[in-house]
Amino acid sequence: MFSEVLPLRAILFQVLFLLIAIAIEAFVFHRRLNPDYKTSMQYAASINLFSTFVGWLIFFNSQPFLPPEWRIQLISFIFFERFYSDPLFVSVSPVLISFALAMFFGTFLLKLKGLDFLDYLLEKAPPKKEEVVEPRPRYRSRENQLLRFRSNSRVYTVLVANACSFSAILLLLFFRLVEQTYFPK
Amino acid sequence: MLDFLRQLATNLIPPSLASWQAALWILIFIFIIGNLIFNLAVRNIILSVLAIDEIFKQIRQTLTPPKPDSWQTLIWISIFSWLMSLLPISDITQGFIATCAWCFLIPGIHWFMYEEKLKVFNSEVNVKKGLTVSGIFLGPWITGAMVCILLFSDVPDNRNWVRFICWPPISAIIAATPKFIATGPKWKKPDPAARQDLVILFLSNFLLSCWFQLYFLTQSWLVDYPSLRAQDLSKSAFVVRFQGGETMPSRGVAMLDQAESVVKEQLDGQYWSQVERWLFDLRPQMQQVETIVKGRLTPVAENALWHLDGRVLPRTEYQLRMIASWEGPSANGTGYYLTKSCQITRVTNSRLPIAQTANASTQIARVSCDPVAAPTEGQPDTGT
Repeated sequence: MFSEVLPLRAILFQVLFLLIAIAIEAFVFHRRLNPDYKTSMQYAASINLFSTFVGWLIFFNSQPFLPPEWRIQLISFIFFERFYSDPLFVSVSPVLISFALAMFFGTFLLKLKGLDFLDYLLEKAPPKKEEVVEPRPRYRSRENQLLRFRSNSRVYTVLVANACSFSAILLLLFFRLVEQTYFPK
Repeated sequence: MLDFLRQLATNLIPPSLASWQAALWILIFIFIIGNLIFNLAVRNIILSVLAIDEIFKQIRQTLTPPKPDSWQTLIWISIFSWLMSLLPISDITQGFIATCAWCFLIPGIHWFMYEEKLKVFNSEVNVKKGLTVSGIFLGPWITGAMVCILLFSDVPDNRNWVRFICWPPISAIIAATPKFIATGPKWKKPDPAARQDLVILFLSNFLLSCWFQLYFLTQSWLVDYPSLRAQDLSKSAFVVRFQGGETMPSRGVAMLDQAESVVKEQLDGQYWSQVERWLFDLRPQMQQVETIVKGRLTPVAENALWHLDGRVLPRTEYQLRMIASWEGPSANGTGYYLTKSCQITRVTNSRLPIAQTANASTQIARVSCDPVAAPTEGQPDTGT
């Protein structure tokens, strides 16, 4: 019933990346927002699953509307991990970079909204923005401003967590690239 | 019924010694005699009959409802309604009663999977524990699969994806229902901790659906571009090929074979001068052949990515090499091409009287082709 070509590698990679992202983001939440470890783990798992799911939805729904050349490039990428006919790659790479950027900010926004939604669903008041005691103007140094910016914590934490998990995944992909290019089987 | 029995009996009388009926009767005879001797020699027949009786008794005990509200009752009702569904002649009534049987079977099996103390053969089996893998109870997914089969029983096989994509969310709903029901039974709102679990449960099941959808998407691509199967997929970060080793032949082979027959139809047996004119105009002629070939092949999206070309090898009279080049996605990024060579030779027309054979205009062409050569990477050079 099932054909012999299965997208199992994609599923395995996705599981691996999700686990890594959840672990890293849970750690960041735990350090910066101070919930207990279990709660931060659950939060990280929820928002990561949510952003992945929305990402898949966007992919599946946009796929039928792709122009045919893009569709073939996509198929080429999925089946052979390369874009076909190299001269086109010049025009593909800027598109790819803008996609990656859009993905990063898209997941960031999704995670932020997901976190708000989760708080609403679990009837938890979002952690109040820490009231920074205004120091007297003459003591207000540069460092202090930076500290205050950081303590406006929720948005910043999600951004940091997202950046950390994306970097880790990029690093893994880079290792894979090195392994495939320099140590082929 | 009697007719049927009579027919069966007449069928079972061996017409000759070397028929299957004779072999069957001999086998049955050997089986009975052998069994008898075995039982007499090793233990007496009565004991073995008793053992079978014991097994049936155990099964009966397990399947006897201990109280009116139990999973056994539901299973029995379902078996009963299934048997009833065999009686009516009209398809609609039959389908309706069979659906009822399903409606009893699904809760029955669901209930059975929650059984923690099932007595079978004087031992207790914890079904629920057996179905729990690393803390996750698999029961709802089995029930969900059955619900999907029931709900989408009318969906044709080519839209099979509906069942698979709906399976995880339906299972998640089944798994989540106990959290919404308080004793009473009453509707209740789950507490925040349960809600957190529910969020993760639903999202991970949606993700499972996405993976099924990904599978069906890649399959639809393989239907549109069957030549993808013919290539090396080992580099892919997404798909993996099982039952490796053997790769399907590329569709270029079918294309060249088809081109061979088109060329034979057009040239074989034609006058030599016409054939030479055809070969002189090779490029437009091959384009025409390409359109004919593509018209004869199954129309799939990948046809646009195949290109058929031909050239006459220099200093031959005449060797036509046909080239099918793949201009789509490939493992090396540059495509590949397949070739087939055909010899076009001039023969004298045997149907004409000998006196005319010296005249070149009466000579006709014969076309014979080699099998398709192994694929070459890259694109053929554009020289003629």
